[in-house]
Amino acid sequence: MSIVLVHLYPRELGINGDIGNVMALRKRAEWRGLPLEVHDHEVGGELPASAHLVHIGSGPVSGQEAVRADLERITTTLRAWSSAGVPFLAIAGGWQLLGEEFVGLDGATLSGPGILPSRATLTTGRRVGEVVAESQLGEIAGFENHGATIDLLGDAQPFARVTYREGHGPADEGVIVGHRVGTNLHGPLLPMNPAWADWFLDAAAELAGVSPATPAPALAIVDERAAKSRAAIRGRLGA
Amino acid sequence: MPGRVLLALRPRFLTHAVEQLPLGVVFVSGSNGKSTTTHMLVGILRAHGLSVFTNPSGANIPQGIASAMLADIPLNGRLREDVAVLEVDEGFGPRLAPQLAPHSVLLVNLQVDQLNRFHEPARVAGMLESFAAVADRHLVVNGDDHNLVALAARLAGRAAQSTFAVAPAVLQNGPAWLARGDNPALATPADRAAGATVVVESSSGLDAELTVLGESLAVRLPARGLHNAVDAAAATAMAAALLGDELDLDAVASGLAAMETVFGRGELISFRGEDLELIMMKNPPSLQVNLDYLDRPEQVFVAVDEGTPDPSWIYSTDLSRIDHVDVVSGTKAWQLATRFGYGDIEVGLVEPALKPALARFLALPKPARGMKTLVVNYEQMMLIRKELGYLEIEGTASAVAPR
Repeated sequence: MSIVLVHLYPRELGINGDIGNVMALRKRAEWRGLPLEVHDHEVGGELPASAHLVHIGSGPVSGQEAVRADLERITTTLRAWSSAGVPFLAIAGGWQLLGEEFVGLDGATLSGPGILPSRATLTTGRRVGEVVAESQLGEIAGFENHGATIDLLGDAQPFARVTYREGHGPADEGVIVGHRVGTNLHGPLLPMNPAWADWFLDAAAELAGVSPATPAPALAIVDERAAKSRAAIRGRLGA
Repeated sequence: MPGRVLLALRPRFLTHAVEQLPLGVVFVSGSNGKSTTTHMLVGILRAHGLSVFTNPSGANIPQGIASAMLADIPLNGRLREDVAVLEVDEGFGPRLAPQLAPHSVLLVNLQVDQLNRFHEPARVAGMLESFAAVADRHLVVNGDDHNLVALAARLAGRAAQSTFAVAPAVLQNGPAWLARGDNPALATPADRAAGATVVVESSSGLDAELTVLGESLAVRLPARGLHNAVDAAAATAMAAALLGDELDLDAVASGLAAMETVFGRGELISFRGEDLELIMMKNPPSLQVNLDYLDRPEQVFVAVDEGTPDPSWIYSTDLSRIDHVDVVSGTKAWQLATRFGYGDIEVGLVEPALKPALARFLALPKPARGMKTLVVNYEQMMLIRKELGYLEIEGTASAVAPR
């Protein structure tokens, strides 16, 4: 048995290096002795029979348009996985697509699969810059570059509380429901914040029924570098 | 910078300089390869006997173009050449077009570039479109780039349009960045433009085979690689549009052959008798092309700073041509070191401060094979050049000092 990681639309939704999240999950699984297979899902492709983790990266509006019809086609399966507790990580444009509603620049509202309880409204303004935030698993850091406002629906909880960012005050960041996370953070998120990579892997391992072995020394090396990356961002933001 | 002062004092300087050029103004723009393509087009036109004004590589924003003209222009403030062929920055094109009124525009490609500045390729498409719309004679675009094919379709009925392309069989075997199609820039067979004026049929080393308006033409490129063959096709397509019946294929070949051959991908700097190769980390496609030239260099230095606000994209770059990095520097050093860790690329030293990092790297003995290789962003390249200049002077001073 292996952890099956489904990566949705790596071609259309992958201009910000979010593939790094998949790389971090793959390498950390290897270093932790967790068998993991990555299934790249392209437009028109077939999903595997089961999944233990789903990743969707960010992309431009043109990329979102290119995958929208296919996403609708696979919505039933994604919802079934979501109800069964499969963890999802959705970044920026990918998060906008997986929410309840998506309001385009023309004001038209499209309904989404509702994997995440949020509504995205595209804006002409854009938020670009480094971010430090406080999450359940401690301080995280990343880079935001997106043109949408996101409203959390119902009693949905933010993924993190932004503590420092250039030119803007504290604010909520992302959304978290069970093991499903939507966030605007690049960096990419998981390589720079490995506690969250392991949180996703642990949940996926439990679903897949696999257990970790003794961690490889490489883990401590990248974790130290990631911590210093976060510290450098914190330093730049004057925190 | 004289250009900036000049434009502040004389806002109509650019318009005045070009408005009486007998053959007018041609713009060359796009994400990657616009400098090379501009040089090639200039070479081809000169080989046809035209005198051409052009801007030096990278001087592609208003101040840069004004400075370049200032250096060349007679007292009446009007360029003396027959035609101006200008490399134009995508972002500044919309401002430059009304002043320079290009009758013809060549767009080489639209790739993922500087997302912190441009946000997304669709926005760049809008910028390119706004100045391509000014052209009333010729619009030449990359027929393999679906964004540009769509852009040309939206501008149908203005300028005469033509395209250049790569033969599908060659495209399949091309370098990853070309075949991959960035998000998804590469046209699918269905929406590729048909009937390209110039097609790249093959490319091997410095040699390429083009079909120009149905006739076959062997050309010698200034540097290896399919992307250079594509740039040559782009330049030839615009030359064909501008020259019409006057196009002479021998002159195309001799114009391209006259360009200086470039062997490395980066800039070579001689330092204390040793050659260093500086490779620029500009954007994903251009870095990938540059890295694909490397063959596991013995000594590697990487430095990235705030000039690259978000280096996340380095995770989508194929780094398999590098098996280790000796020194990582710049304010983003730890982020790069993290990336190398996940790529199983061993890292020697991480030192965010440039001076000590560079000193450590330069102290390595000369490699047995190849050159010391530095992969850096633009801002670090500037700082490194300056630093090497100081060190060279210090080195000279100590060499002549009494023993």
